[in-house]
Amino acid sequence: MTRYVIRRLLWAVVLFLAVTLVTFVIFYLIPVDPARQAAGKAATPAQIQEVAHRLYLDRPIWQQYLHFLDELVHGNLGYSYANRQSVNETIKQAAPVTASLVIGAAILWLAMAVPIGVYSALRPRTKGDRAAMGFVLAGISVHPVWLGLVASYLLAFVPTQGSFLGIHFPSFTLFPIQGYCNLKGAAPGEPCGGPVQWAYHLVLPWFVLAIGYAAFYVRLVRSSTMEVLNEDYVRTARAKGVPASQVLRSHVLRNAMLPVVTAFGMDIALALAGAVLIEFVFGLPGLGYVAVHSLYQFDYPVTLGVVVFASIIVIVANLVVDLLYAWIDPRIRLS
Amino acid sequence: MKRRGVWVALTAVVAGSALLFSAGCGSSGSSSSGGGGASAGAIPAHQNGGTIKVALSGNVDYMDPALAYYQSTWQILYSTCVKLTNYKDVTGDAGRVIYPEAASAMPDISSDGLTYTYTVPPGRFKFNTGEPVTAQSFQHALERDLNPNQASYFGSVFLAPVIKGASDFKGKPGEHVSGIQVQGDKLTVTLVKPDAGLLSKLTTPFACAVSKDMPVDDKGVHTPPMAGPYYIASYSPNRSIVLKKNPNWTDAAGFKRPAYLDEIDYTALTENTDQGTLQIKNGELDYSPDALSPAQFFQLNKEYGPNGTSGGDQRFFITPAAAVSYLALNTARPAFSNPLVRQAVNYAIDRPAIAQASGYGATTPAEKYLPPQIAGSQQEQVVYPVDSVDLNKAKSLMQQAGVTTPITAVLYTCNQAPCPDRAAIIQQNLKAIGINVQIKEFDRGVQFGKEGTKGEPFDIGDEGWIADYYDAYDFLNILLDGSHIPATNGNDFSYINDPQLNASLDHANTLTGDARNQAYGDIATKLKQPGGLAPWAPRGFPNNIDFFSSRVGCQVNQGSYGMALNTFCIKSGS
Repeated sequence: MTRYVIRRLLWAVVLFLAVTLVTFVIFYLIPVDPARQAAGKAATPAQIQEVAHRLYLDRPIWQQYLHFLDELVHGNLGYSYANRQSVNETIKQAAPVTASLVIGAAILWLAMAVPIGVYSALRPRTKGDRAAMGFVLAGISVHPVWLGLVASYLLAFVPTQGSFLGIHFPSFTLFPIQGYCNLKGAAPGEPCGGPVQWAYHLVLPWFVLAIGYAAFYVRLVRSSTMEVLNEDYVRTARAKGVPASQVLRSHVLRNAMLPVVTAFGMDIALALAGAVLIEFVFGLPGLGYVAVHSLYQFDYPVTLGVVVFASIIVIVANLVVDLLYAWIDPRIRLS
Repeated sequence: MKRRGVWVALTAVVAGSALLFSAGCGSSGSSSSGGGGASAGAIPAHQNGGTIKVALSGNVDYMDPALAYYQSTWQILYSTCVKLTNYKDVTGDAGRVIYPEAASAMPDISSDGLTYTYTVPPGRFKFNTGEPVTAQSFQHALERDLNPNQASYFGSVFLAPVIKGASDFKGKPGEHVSGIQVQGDKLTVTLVKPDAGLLSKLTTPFACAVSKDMPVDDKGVHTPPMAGPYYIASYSPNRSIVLKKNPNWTDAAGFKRPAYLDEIDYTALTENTDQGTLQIKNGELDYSPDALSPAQFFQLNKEYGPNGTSGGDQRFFITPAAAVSYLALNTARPAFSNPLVRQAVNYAIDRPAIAQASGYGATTPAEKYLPPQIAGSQQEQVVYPVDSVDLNKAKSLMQQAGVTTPITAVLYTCNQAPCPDRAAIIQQNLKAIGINVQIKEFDRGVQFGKEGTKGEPFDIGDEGWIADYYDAYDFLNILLDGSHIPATNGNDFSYINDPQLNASLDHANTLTGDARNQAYGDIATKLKQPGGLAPWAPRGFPNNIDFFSSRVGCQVNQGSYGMALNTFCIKSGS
């Protein structure tokens, strides 16, 4: 097991270096001069050159990359070109937002997918199964941006209007249209805070991010469970008179969850990317928003910082999944 | 003010706000019809105090006056700063007149135009901390701009070339810029060459009074003490900004600058534009200058514009920004080396159609070089057709030019909507006079860089420019003086380098007052008149869009800075 872990860790370091190098080179190749952006549009070439020197942009790319790695080793991701804020601070502030979104959505999609998937597998081709498959089709087909906009319009805006399609009703507030509240409490200038407000503001984003994944996982759980149900050891357990609930819990689910756990590790990483769209729709100041906004501004240190941070998360998530997988199925580590 | 970070700003201008289009807002109405400026004279019954909630969609840079450069932060600093001279909170032309604010009078300018002396009575204004504003407050402000350790790139771009001793200033403790001296209540600014634009430059936030203890910090101070109607109580990047009423605010200059609200809370700095519009409609938010959905502009103007169907006061405002959108015609290349061909382009482009492609309310068609906010614009005469095309005139000019058609011209534009749509219209317009346009699309930042590189093979650049400060110099000299076109990072995208034009621009910059305005207006007019150089085909003025909830009133659309936050109030009964 130790060798396995060391091997995985070494691969993680190589992967991390590769990601940062590729990202760095891509930004270097874009024919936009960040120094000019930082200096202002009326700056003279001499002034732009001065800024370039200050920002370390007048060195060869390999020196810039080594400088970046050197700073990284010392825990410094650099400073934004656009507002000179520490990238560490920016990420520190944005990461909890994205984590709140992704973890909450992941719990929600598993909470939806596992029971529905198992139910469908146990009762294939029933009305309930067909309804579940209908949900799967809709969930996979609908785009999260569309769903987010429609959900916030219908569930957050319309109730406050007191009428919809000519039908009148007392206006009320069901969900906030957008925004984020800190879990710990409201910071100065922020309108809300605390666990209740935090969850209340995230219900719609969680639902919108989770729905597509939930649909996919229903299918995954269903097919995996059906496959395990047909295994000899399940038949044997039943023949031995093991109660159905115990067969399901100890024999079916434990084995059916292997592909789900694998996919879950990957999808947490994918959900980070999906979170970009949700954060934009619901105005959440998370990593996705920060990354996209920095791209618009050619604010490379911030983009690179988010990429580095996301890479670490994805690599760690995969590492955890690998270890979890090895724990669930000891044959993995032996191979 | 209407300048921001290069790409953000110029993308907005050139793209006519890319977002404007993304909403498919090509509605039918004239984009200029929505106007309407809130006037200081129409103050509704209101309550003093209260808090309003404001949202932005991400365009915030610094709260530090030495570093701030985005439109949204200049809007904040307009209502938090006290300057030597400033604009009054009035709309239209009156809002573009500079008056003494912290200074007791306009500066005494020496006959050679090299020395500006301000008298700053100490304590007329006070920071929110209680510290009095003195001449040193401005000395420190300007020296922060020029201090290499502060790295105020934007401030130093404007001030360093003209202030004596600025280039030698190292920012050591106790060191002062030789050209910025204080004696008693006198602040003397000495220049190395006459710069009549200095007055305008010193009405920007770079000349905002700062506390004597304000540190030099190249990361920027988040909550600098302020002496204006409001101060910045807190700022959390990407999260929130809180402005509170300055407890020591007195309208000492007699500007009648109000501060009705207790607090202005920017509760969201990452607002989605679709959602922001809904939130203002249902009252969850009170105001946004940018978190608004372009797809909604037509409907919002119809419901909440100057003659809105929803009744009540105007809540939706479309007003021109201090910016110009134009086609830079590359005079260094064969296609447009002949001024008559460039003149022909100006008669052939359909400005209303091009404006409409940018979306409802995005652009007001125009053919002027100088936006209306800029002194000199009134003196600039209209020469080219604004509401239509004059194909006969255009064809006649092409004939006079004696060029062999068809001419092939490469148009550089951005790759975000509505640039490609606009390019298609320009292509169609110019085909009618024998110019075949080849469109090349780039990311806006890439386009800007390429066009600023000498020898780049483009003939037309779809360009825009936002004022850094309210002076014609910032448009005409910066963009058309060809005497020092650099190999890269240039701004003269038409590559015009005419000694006579350069001399006229230099001369105009030595003038002040009406003479200056007339000189710049004449230069712009002459560029367009028969025989003129016609380096551009100006196509319009981009607009600012503002939307308020029903409970906010008293808005003053300040003639230079747009909506003045300090004028907002909560209507009675809200």
